[in-house]
Amino acid sequence: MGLPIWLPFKIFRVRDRSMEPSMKEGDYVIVSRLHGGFRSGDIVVLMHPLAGIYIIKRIKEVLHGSVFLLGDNTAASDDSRSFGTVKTSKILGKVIYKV
Amino acid sequence: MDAMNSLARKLLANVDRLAHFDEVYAHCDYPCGIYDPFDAQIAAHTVIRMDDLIGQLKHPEGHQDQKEAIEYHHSMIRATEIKEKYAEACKHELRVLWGDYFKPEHAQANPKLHELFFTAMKQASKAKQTTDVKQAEALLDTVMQIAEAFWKTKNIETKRVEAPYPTKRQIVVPKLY
Repeated sequence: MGLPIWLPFKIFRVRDRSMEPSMKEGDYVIVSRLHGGFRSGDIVVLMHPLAGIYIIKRIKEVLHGSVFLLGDNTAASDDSRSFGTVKTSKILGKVIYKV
Repeated sequence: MDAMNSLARKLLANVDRLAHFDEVYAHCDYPCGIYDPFDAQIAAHTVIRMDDLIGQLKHPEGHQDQKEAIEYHHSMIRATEIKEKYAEACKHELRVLWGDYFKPEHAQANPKLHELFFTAMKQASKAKQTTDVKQAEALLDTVMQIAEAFWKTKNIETKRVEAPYPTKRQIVVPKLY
């Protein structure tokens, strides 16, 4: 169960190690729906376009209305190189805090 | 700051036990980053071995000796089943490499990459349909080319050596040391 959809923040528990060292298995991240736009380097959460699970990625490049995403561990990551750019409207929010 | 983080983490872990936060994945496949064309080559060798064994089976003349006839059919069925299974295993391993490991930039660097996989898939199917060892050898040759293409993406040199199996055919190994 996640937090109610109308809340501006949502908390996730991180699974697997592909974002190490910036994210570790078992970390909690607070994702904000309220932010002043996306920038390169932002870590964001979105629904995987094919797999139907929440994924966490870093923005490599901001394009017109969409972003190119990469995992921190590019050798292991399934990201924009395989599923293409993602519309910013599809992004759930930006990671504003990690613990 | 560490103490604050630790406290916040404990607090969130307790809330998590009750609220069950959604999980977010850094990678949608697990385990990640562990790929190797070795299993595909082993599977292709197994198909060759089964073709060889099937070719060596002696058909009992006239089925006069029931025990011999039973043994013949039993061995034939087992070898055929194993051949079928490992041709499919080879296709599975190739699908994982093709779909999960290789990225568009690999295909750009190696324009023959998609053609290699396409050919290997067809050859694996053909190897199922026949006991002609030449079909299985063709599959192994393509799988070895894929193995070489795989290690090239990691800038690791390879060499073809005679595999230590009864097939006496080659296998591609990385020069890791």
